Amino acid sequence: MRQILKIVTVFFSIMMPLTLMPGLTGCGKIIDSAGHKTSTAETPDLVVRGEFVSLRETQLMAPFVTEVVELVPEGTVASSGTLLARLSTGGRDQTLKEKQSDLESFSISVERDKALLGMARQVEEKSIELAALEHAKCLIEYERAIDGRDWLRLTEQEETYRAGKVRAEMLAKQFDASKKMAQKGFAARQELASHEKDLLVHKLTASFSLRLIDFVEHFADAREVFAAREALERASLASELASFTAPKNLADYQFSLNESQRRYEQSLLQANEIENELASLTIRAPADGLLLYGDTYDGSQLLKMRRGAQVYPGLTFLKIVDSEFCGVQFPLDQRDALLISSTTQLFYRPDALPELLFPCRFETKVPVALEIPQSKPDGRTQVVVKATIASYPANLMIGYSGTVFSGDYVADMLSRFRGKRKAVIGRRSLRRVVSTSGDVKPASASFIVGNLDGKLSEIAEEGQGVKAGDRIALLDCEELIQSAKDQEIELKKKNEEYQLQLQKNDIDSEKIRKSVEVKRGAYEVAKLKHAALLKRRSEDKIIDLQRSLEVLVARIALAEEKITHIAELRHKGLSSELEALQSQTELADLKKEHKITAYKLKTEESGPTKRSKKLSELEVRRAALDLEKAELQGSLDNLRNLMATRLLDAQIKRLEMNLASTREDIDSAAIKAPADGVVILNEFNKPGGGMGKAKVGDNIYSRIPFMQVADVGNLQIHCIVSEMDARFIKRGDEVKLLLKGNSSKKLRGWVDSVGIVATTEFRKRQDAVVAVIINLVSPVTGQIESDPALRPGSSCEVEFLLYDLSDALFLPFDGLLPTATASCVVTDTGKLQAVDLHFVDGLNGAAIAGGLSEGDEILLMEAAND
Amino acid sequence: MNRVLVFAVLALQAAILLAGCLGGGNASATGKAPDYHFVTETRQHRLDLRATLKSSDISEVGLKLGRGKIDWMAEEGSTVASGDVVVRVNMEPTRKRIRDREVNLAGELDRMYNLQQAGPAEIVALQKVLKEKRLDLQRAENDDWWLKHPKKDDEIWKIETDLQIASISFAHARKIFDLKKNVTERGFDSPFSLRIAEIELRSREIEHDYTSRLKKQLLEPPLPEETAKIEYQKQVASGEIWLAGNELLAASISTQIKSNNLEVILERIRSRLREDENTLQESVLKTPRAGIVIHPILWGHYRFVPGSDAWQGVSIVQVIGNGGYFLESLADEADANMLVEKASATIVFDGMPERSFTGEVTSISKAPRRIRGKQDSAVRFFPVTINVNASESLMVGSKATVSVILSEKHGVFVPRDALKTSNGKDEILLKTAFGVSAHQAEVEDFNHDWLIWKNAPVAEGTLLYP
Repeated sequence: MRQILKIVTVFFSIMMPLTLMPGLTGCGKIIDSAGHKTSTAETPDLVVRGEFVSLRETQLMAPFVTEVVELVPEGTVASSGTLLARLSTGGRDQTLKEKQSDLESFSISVERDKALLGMARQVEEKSIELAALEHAKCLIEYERAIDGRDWLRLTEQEETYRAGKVRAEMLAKQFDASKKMAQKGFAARQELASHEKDLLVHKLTASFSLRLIDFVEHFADAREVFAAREALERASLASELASFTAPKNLADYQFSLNESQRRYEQSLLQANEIENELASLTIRAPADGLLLYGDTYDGSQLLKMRRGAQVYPGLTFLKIVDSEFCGVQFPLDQRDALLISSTTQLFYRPDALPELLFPCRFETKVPVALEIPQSKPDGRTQVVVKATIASYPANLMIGYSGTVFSGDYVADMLSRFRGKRKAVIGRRSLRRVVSTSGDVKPASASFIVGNLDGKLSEIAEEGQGVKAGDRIALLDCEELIQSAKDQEIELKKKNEEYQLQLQKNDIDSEKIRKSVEVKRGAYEVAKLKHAALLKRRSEDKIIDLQRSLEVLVARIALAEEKITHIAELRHKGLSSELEALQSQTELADLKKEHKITAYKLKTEESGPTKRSKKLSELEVRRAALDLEKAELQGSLDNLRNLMATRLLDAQIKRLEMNLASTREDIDSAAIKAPADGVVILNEFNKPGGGMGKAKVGDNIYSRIPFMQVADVGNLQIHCIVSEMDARFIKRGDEVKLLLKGNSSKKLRGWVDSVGIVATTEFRKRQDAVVAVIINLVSPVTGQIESDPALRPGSSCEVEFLLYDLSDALFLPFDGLLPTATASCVVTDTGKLQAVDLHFVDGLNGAAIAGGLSEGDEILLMEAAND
Repeated sequence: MNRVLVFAVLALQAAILLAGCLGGGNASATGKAPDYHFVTETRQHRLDLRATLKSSDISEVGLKLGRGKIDWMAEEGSTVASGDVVVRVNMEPTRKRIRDREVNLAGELDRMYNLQQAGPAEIVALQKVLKEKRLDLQRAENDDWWLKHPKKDDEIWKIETDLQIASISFAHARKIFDLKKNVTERGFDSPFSLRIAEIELRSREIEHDYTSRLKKQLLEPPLPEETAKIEYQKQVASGEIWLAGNELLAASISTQIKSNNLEVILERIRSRLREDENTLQESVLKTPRAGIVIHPILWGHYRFVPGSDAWQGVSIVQVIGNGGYFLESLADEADANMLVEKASATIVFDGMPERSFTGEVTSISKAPRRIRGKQDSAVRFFPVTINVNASESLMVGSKATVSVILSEKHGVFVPRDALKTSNGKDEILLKTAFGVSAHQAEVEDFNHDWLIWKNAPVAEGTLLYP
């Protein structure tokens, strides 16, 4: 608590006067530093190196390996949703076309299978109905076989038996008479034998008729019954099978439909995914912020992103940093970790802007000490602390390194201005030149990539000048050429198949038409047969039978008259009993004939039986069903043929697309120069292992650069400068270029661009660096000032004139004391006085713009422990 | 008196000079061998180690199944509560695989439904075939019977009746012929009439003969070819019945096998689907406990970052709880050999130099650890863990100096250099008031530098280095 109170007291005692000072007193005014002096005289609690960073950063990665087609300049302040880049489709549009082609095929399949299922359901219904109908027909036939008798024969036998009884009586009488006559010697033996024989034959015949009547009446035809029963059983089995077959066939159709539907949905999903991927190729800012370029890969190392470069998944190619939410990040050795907490007062003094001091607010601290990567010695641990800075000038570049102080920085520093070291402000010449090494690179160079993996069969020689469109490399594409030939053959065959299918469609269509016609004819025949059955009467036969019947009636009447007459004669003794019996026999025969004829007439007049009618009706229904089934089957076959044609058409289109794609691949195997320039074979990681320049026979990966075509007439020098120098360098500044090994020859160059972010890597060096690109094109004349010794890949010294003031009011660096609100000096009375500065250079001191005059005396900072 | 006094002073000076020449005394003061002042005391044999504080309460968070690209990770050092999401992994390939498996599963289920529909139909079709074959056999048997009994009862009756009638007619015709012959021979009838009777007789005879043959035919067996044909039909029908029955059985078993196979396939797909779904659940990894998130180093200096590919079995993040700490040190071979487990230690953290903690050695690894960049070094380092007694929260990763107490002894401690060995005997030169006396010494090892003089004649004194 006491510590907090102390910090608060110190904070207010320092910050309030400092905050109000510039406003109240302005530059050159004396700032009361009594508060500082009384606060503490101890050294700052902690002094560590830190880096100015954005605390909110969004990294963008590519969905797949492709090329940057459009790219907005680095440093663009982007709003959320702003277009940042467009990536090449990288063959995805071709894939999308292929998927859409697949989709069309699957769509046809779904349509076909849906229609087939609907029709198949109707066909199966007809098949079941037909089987049931056949069963019903067989059942009727079976019942008829069981119940059926030869009724005419039965009638004939009954009548014969009945007439036979009369005849038997007559024959017996005749035989008795003959026998008696023979005994009396009046009759011939011949006649007796004949009468005996007639009687015996008649008895046998009568006996046979009697047995036949019983037989015909009680027994059906066993063979017919057997055949009918067999047919019935077979029909029953067929009907049962049909009831099982229909669901099975329908399940097959349903399965095909489901499969088609699934394939269609899967294909649709894949097409959507590709469309989404294609949509994701338009890169928009996910948040407000400053656009920074990420990395690309040139085959051997990571390079800064640029238009036309390749992007790879997993490799950040763009970053959006929030330049409004920045702060300082610094590592803290584990032993000092406890010295920093959320209440610790922190200050950041950037090396590049040493005249400025930024109060920081503790943001986060990793509460665990972690091993420092690649530290020496091993095992050192540190915690990383982040602190926000509320406001900062625009020239405080992200990535600047600096020193982070904890505690009351101003008071601590002020205590070191003890008065033993003093300086008088005077005038002097301020000039500083800095030299750095730069790499010579072409101003415009295109990385050459293959669209395919493959083996180089041809490659241009390094240094060879090429024009745009010239072939500079050739990939071995024998397999592709062979594949194209195969596809052409396949396409030809498919076209032939398509034509054959069309012919088959015509033939099938005709066949189906004929088949339906035949079935329709059969149906008409069945209907006519049924009608004929219903009307079937043989008029001639009826008439003949009726006339026969009439004759028989007349003859019966005559026979009856004859019997009567004989009876009268017999009564008078003029006729014998035998004659009477003969007459009765005649009558009985005539009656038998009459009854048989009457039965025939009745049968003829009554027409078909109920069973016959039913069977005929069933035949008609069967013919109708056959016709309906044939029509359905015909439609089904036509549809199948039509869909097969459409599918073939879709397949042909797909094959044509594939062939076109393969031909494009074959064309792309010949790699052409994208622009005029000179071929440069840069070293790259070879798929076979190791690094080296591409040569014939080497395999290359698609989308991985293996050579460049550069405009060597327009070169640039890429160099890095210390952050402390970067503030003095701006676009258009003239620089001197010194060729290595030829110090006497100097060329001129002009700053083309200065990086907008610095790079800090404390492991390698303590200061941050900024990338600077030097152009060799004079901004005045537009002429390129180059030398043959400058070649891409070589290096040179670049000399920057940072500043050159011949008569500047000079402030020693030790006299500067930055505060949170102003850059100050300490007057000889020990008070802080704000000053205006042109610039501050850590090496040479500062150039005063105002706030101090020549001859003013100030105090200089002294060593902490002198 | 004065002379005595002067003599005494001279004698004293001489004695002092003599003592200075013969006795020990400080080398710098005397220009002779240095001496060492010893006392009887208690000393501890300590071994100082540098150690790093580690948490004994670490939960590893990583993919148990599958692999994917890390979309997001909780920031290192962030504090998380139990159940908080710490890693999100993009498992699009797994999602696609699940989709494919679901489609595959739906297809196989359809196939199973199809089989369930087709199975009975196939069985019924085969049953139909079997029954039809049985009907074929029945017909063959009937044909056999009909072959052996070609005529129906009424036909047989008719043949028998016709034969009887023919017999009667033939007998009658013979009788008439005999009568006619007799009459004609007597001249009462014409030969023409006899001729008619004769023809009639012949006609009846033919008729009788024909009916007799018909009757005889009823008793004749069928032709051997016909019988063989029927037998063959019966055999064929029986064989076909066997085949159909066999086929039915095979189909039934085949259907069952197909069904079982499909069940296996379905179960396999379901099982893989479950695995993939479980894998997909790994796309959001939650911390099992509260703590601090750490991004562990996988190898070298590689650690996972968003965009990296992660795979099963490795930790993407660690969550450190405050459940306990231990110190880990690497002791070289010599130190490790001296260390013993349960040795007590005093611990001073770099960040808290004003405080001292206690602890004890808990383990000394039996195998050395390979240290990055020192794989070829002859010096081997053995991990040593030290328990630390601390009730408050400490910062994992803090460095500390651990002083391990190896032993504690009481006695006279003399430097090893002070021991003179001559003729196999150890001697120590002890400075006395009258000069230097050599003492035979019994010593015991204390550590590399010091010995314990077990038979020191005095509890405190000064010895001279030989």
